[in-house]
Amino acid sequence: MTNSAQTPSDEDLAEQIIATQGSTAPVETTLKTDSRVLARVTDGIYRQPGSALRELVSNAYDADASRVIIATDRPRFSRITIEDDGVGMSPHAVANLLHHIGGSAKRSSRGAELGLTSSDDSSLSPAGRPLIGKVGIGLFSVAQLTQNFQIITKTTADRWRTVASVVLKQYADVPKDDTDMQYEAGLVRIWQEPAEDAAAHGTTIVLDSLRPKTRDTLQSAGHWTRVETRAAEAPKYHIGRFRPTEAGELLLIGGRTRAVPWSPGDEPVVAFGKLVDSVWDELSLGDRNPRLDQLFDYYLQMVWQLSLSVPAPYLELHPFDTPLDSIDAYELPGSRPGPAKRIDSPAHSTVRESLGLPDVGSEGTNGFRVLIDDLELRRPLRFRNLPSTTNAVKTPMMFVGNVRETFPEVDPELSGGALSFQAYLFWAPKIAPVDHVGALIRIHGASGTLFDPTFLRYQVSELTRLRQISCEVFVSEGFEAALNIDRESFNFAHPHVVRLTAWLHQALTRSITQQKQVAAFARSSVRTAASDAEAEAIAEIVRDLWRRVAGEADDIPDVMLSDVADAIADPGSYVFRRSRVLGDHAHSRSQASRTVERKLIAIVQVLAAYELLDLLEPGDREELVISIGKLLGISS
Amino acid sequence: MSGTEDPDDAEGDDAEFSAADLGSPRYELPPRRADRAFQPWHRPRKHFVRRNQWLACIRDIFDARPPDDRITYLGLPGIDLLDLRYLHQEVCQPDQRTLQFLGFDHSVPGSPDGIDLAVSLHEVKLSEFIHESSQILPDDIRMIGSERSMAYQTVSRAGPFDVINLDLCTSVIEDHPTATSSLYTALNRLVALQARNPNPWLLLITSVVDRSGHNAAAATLLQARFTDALERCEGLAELCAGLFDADDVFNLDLDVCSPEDFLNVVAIGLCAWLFERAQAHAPMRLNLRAVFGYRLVPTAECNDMISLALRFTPVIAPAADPIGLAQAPPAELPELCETMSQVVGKADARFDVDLHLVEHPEVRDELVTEMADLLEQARYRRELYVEWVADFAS
Repeated sequence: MTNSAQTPSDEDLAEQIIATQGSTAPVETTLKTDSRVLARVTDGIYRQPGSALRELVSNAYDADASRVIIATDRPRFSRITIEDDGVGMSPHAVANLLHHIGGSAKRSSRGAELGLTSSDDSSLSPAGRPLIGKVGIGLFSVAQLTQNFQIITKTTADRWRTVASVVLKQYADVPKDDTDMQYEAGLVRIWQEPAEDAAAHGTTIVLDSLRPKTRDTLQSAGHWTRVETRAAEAPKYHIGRFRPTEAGELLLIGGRTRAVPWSPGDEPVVAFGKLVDSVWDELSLGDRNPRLDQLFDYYLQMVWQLSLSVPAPYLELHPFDTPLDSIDAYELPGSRPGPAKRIDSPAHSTVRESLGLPDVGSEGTNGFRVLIDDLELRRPLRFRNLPSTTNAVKTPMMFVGNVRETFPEVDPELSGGALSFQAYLFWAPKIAPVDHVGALIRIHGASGTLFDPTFLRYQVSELTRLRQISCEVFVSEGFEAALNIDRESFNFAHPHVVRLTAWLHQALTRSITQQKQVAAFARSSVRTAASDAEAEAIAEIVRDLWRRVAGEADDIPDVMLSDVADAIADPGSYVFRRSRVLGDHAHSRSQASRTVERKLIAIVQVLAAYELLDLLEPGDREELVISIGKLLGISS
Repeated sequence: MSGTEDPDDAEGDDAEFSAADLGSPRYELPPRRADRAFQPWHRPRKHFVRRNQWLACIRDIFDARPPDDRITYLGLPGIDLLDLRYLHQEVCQPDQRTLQFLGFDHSVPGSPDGIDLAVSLHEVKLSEFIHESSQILPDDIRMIGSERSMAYQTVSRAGPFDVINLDLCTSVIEDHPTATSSLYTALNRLVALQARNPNPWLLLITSVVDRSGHNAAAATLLQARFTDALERCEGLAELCAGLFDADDVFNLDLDVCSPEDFLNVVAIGLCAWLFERAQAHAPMRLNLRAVFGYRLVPTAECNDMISLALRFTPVIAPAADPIGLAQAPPAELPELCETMSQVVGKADARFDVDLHLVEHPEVRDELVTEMADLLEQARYRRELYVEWVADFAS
C-alpha cells in the first residue's frame, strides 16, 4: 500500500518512456489503483477466459484495426498472443493505460488527446467507428488470465516502438473502509525500441504463464477427467487433450489427437463454416436439440461465443438481407398497437429493402476480421436453407421491428437520452444450436450478453414456441449506460432496458400469435393417414399428451430405428439402432412385432413431450429405450 | 462445460486443489539484459551463406512458380528473425509473394530473449506479404519426431513446406540415435510430410561438423550409409579420391581420420541417408545445390561449420505394373549412384566462405552494409555493429 503521490503522473511517465529512446535503461515503476478497481479484480468480474479475449478484441476494433489475430498453442495453452493492426498507442496513451487499469480514457476528452478516439466525437474511434470497448477494462480483464504479460505497440510514423512488461500483484481481498487509499496493482518495465518500419502500426499483447485455473479451463481439464472416469462422454468435437509431460504429447482420443470438423488446409473462413455446419448436421444425425456444451470442448464453445460477441460479418447474409423467397417476413409495430404485418414485396427483395432499414445491424463489421488459430470468426447464424422438419409450418418466419424512442416527456437525465434499435425474431421449427434460443442484444455490433433464453424475463408460458425463436436486437443509439461493468449483464431498472424489454415482450406475443395462425392454417390442410385402427389409437394417445404438455402436437418427433451406420434422419428425429432396441423383433414382419415397435416408438414420443430424453447422453438414451423394450417383452 | 457456468465449477468436484492453482507466488519483474550483444551469426560470412546460398536456392525454385504461390517456410529463425526479414526484403516485397512461416524457438516467454522475439514478431508480422497465420512455436524442433507432439501436429497442419531451414548452432549429429527425441527422427518425419509436396522443395542444413560435438553412434551409422553407397556405386570411390586425405575411404576410422575426412563422411553420409529416407516415402530426386563452409574455431584445420543446400524434386510418375495389366512407360526413378556422384562432386567443390571474403574484401564490405541494414531492422545500432564487425575479416 503506497501513497498515490509517489506515482509519476501520466505526463511524467510518458516523458520517462520517451527518454528511454536509445538508452539501455528502461522505466520501472509500480502500477497503482484504487480500492474500487481492486475490488473488481478480486471479485473476478470476468469468470470466463473468453470474456477477456472479447474485451481485447473490442479494444482492437476501437483502435480501427482491420484484423485481430488471437494465436494460442492449443491445447497446451502456455501462451496466448493478441495481435492487431490498429492505430497503436503512443507513450502517453500507454502511460495513461497503465495508470488507469480498470478505467478508460475513451469516451472522454482525454481519448482524443491520446489518439484513442475521434477528435470530433469521443464516442467514436479515430476513424469513426462507434466505440464498443474500454481500453483499461480490456487490459484489466487480462488479470483474470495471467499475472504476466507484455504489450508491444507502435503508432504510424513513429520511429519507436513502446514495449511494456507487466507483472500484476495478486490480492485476495480489499479493505472496504479505505476507499481513498491507493494500492499497488503491479510492476511494469517500459522502454522504447527503434523502429525502422515507420509506417507500421498496431498492438500485440502477449499473455504468458497463464493462471493454472485458466489453463485448466481452456484445456477442458475437468471434463476430460470426468471422461477418464466414465462420468461423461468425450465431446464430439475437440482440439485434443494435452498431457503435460516432458515430451508434451497429446493423448489419443478415439484414435485421433483432435476431432474438429474442418480439414488442415481449409482457409479460416471455410473452416469456421464447417464448424457451424457441424452443429446443424447434428439435427440429421438424431440429435433433436444440439447443444454446444454437449458437442464441443471448452475451447470450441469459447470460439463460438466469441463469434457471437465480436463485430464480425454473418456467415452468410445479414438477417435483414435474407431474400423474401426463403422466409415469411412480418413487420412489427414500434410503439403503435396492432398485429404483425406481413411484408408482401417481390420474392427476390430483402427485408432491408422492403422496410427501408439502414445498414445498422452490420455496421459493426466495417471490414474488421477476427481470427483465432485456424478459424476466422463469423456470426454463426443461418436463416436460409434450413433442414426441413415434421412441423406443419415449413417456411421460417422473421418478425422485424425498427424502434426509435426519444422519451419526449421524460427528463434526459432520467431517461438516459434517445434509444434506437432494430430487431428481428426468427421463428423456425428447430433452432440450432439450442444455445441460440433467446434474445441477444448488440450495441454497435458487439455483445457481451449472448442469447438470453428468458427473453428478458418474458413471463408468458409459451414453452414450445419460445424454443423456436432466436432474436437479435441491434442497438445503434443509447443503452450503453445500462450495461454493468462486466459488459455481460445490464441494469434491468435502466429506462432503456425497460423500454426495450417492453417492446420485446410485445413483439414476442405478436409473433407467437401470428405463428399460431399460420400453423393452424397449415395443420388444417394436412390429413394424417393411419394405416390401421391400432396404429391410430397409439398415435392419438401420443398426440393427446403432446397437446396437453406442449400445447400442440406439431412437433412430435420422428423416431428412426435403423442399423445403417450414420443413417440420415429428418432433423429433429430420434435415431436408435434397430437391432439393439427391437432385439428379436427387429427383422420380423409379424403383427405382434409391428405392435411392439409402434408402442416403443410411442413411448419415446411420450418421453419427448416432457423433454426427458434430451437430458440424456445418446448412449444412455439408447440404454433407456432398450430397457423399456425389455419391459414390453422384447428379448435381445 | 457450459459456456456460461463458472469455470471453477466446470472443473468439477473431482479436480484436486493445488497451491499452484492460486497462481505464481512470484511478484517481480523478470531479469533484464543490459544490452544486446552481437553474436557469431551476425558476422558477414553468415550473411554470405544467407544471400549466396539460401536466397539463391529459394529464388531458383520460385522462379518457376506462379506469382500467387506462397512461400511456405519452416525454420529456426532465432529471436531476431534475420532470415525471415531478408527473405521478405529480397523476394516477397519485390515479387509481391507472400511468406507463410512456422518457426521454432524455445526462448522463455517474458525473458529478455522471449521479449526480443515478441518484438521481432511484431515487426515482421506487420509487414506486407507476411501471411497472418505465420507463427513461432515455443518448442524444440526435435519434438517433431513424436507424432503426438504439439510440434508435429502443428507442422503437419502447416506443411508441406517449400523451404525447411535447419540453421543449427550445434552439430546435426549430436543426438544419440536411440534418444527419445532426436533431429534424425524429426528429419525422417519431415521427409515423410514432404512427400505430400508436389513441388520442388529445399532442405537447408547448417551444422557444426567436428569431432567434438558429435554422437559417435550417429556418425558411425552415417558412415555406414556412405560406405554402402561406395560399395553399390561403381566409380564413386574414385570420385572420392580427390576429396579425402585417406587412401582407403572404405575403412576410415572416424576417431583418428583427418577433420576434412570426418566432415566429408558426415556430409556425404547425411545426403545418402536423406536420399534413402526420401525414397522410402515417395520418389524424389535429391540435388545438392551447394556446400558452403567456414571455421568457427579460427585454428581449425578445415571448415568446422558447413551449410548444405539440398533440393528435392518429387517424381510423380506411374510405376511399372509387374503383371502387365496396366501399360506404363518405365519411369525414370531417382537413382542412388547418380545422386551420390552429384553429391560427391558438390562436396568436393565446397566453398570456403572465410577464404573468399579474405580474398575479396569488397564483398565483405558489401555484406557488412547489408548485415547492418538487417540488424537495424532488428533494433541493433548500426554504428555499434560496424565497430564490432571490424574485428572480423569474414
